[in-house]
Amino acid sequence: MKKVILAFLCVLSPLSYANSQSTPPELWSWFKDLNKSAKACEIQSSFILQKLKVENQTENEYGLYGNIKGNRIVVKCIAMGETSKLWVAVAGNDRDSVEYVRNLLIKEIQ
Amino acid sequence: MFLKTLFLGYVVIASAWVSSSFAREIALTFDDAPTQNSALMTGNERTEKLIAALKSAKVPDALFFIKADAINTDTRLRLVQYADAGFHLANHSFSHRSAHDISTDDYLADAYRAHLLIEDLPNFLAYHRFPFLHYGKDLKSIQYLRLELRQLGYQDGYTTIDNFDWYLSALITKAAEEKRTIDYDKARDFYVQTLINSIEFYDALAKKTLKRSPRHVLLLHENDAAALFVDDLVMELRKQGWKIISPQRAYQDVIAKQFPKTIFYKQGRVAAIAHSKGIPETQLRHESENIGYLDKLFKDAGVAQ
Repeated sequence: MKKVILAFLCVLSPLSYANSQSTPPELWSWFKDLNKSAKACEIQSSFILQKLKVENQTENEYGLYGNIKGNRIVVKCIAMGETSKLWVAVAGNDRDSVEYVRNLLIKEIQ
Repeated sequence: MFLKTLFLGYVVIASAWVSSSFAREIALTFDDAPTQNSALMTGNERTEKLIAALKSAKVPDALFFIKADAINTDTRLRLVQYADAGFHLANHSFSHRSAHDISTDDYLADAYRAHLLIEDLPNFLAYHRFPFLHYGKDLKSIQYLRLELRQLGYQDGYTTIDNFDWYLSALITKAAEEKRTIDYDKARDFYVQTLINSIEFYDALAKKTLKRSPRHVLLLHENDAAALFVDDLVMELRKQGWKIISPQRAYQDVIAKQFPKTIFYKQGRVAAIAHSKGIPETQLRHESENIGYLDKLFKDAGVAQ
C-alpha cells in the first residue's frame, strides 16, 4: 500500500509543479485621482508601503515596487497638472490575496 | 436648605472652572537638536548638561525637535541619550528650510526625508514643527502641508510661547568666542528673566484672546544657554506658580485642534488665534523678540566684560 501511495505522489508532484508553472499569476490593478501633486502622491505612497511593511521596497523614476504577502506590487503616481493619478497593480498566485492587497493600497494611499 | 446646597455646588463648580482655566501649566520643547560644538561646550557636553539640568529640576518630560541633517554616528548617540533619559524626540525637518521659501512639494519631501531618518529612534513621537514657525507662504500652502503631514501620521508640534532664546544663547556664546569674561550669575538672570517676560506676555495674550490660560508649549533650543540655565528657569517658573507638564499633556489642550485661518503662525498658536480674531500683529510680539533690544539688555546687564 505504501508503495502505491509513494508511486502516486511521484507521479503527481511533477504534474502539480508543471501546473503552477504554467498558470499565469493573477494581475489586478486600479487607479484613482488624488487631489495632490505627483510628488506628494509618491511621498504618501512610500509612507504607506513602509507602514504596510512591504518588503524589498525600491523606488525609481518609474514607480515604487515591492513584495507583500507573496505578491509583487507596483505603485505609480502620474502628474495631471497640479493633481495626480495613482495607479496600483498587484500580481500573485492567490486571487483573494491579490485583490485584498490591491484594495488595501488603493484605500490607504490618499 | 435646597438653595444653600445649590449655591455651594455653584461655588465648587465655578472655582474648579477658574482653577482649570488659569492653571499655569507649561511644557518644554527644544528645537534644532543635535546642535554643533561651540566655544563654550561640545555637543556631547551640551546634551549631558541639558539632561542633568532637566533631571535635577524634575522636569517630567521634554520634546526635542530634530533637525535630521545633523544626524551622524556621534550625534545619533546624543539623541538616544535624550531618549534613554526618558525624554522624547520629534521631527523638525531635514534641512531646516523655511516653508515660505520653497515649494510645498520640496518642503514635504524634506520633512519626509527627516521622517525616514528618525522614525526608528527610541521615544520618537510623530510631532512635526516647522522651522522658523513658517507654516507656508499662503493659506492654500498652509492647508496643503497640514493635510499632507497629517497623512504621514504627524500632529502639529506647535508652540504657544515664541521668544529669542536662540539669540540670548548666541550672545553668551559669542562672548566666550571673543574670550570675554562672562559673569554667569548675570547671564543666568538675563536668560531667565527675559524668558519669564515672554512667557507672561503670551499667557496674558491667551487670557485676553481665549479667556483662559491654555496648557502652554515653550519654544526653546538645544543651545548653550539652555544647557546652563534651564534648571534655573524651571525653578523660577515654579516660584511664580507654574507647573511643568509633559509636551504630550500640553498637546491635549483644545487649541491643538484649532487651526485659525491666518498666515500669521510665526509667533505661535496663541498669537495665530489672536490674529485671526483681529488683534493686530504689533500686539502679538513681545518686545524682547528683537535683536537690538536684546543687544542693549545684554550690554546693560553687564553679562560680559
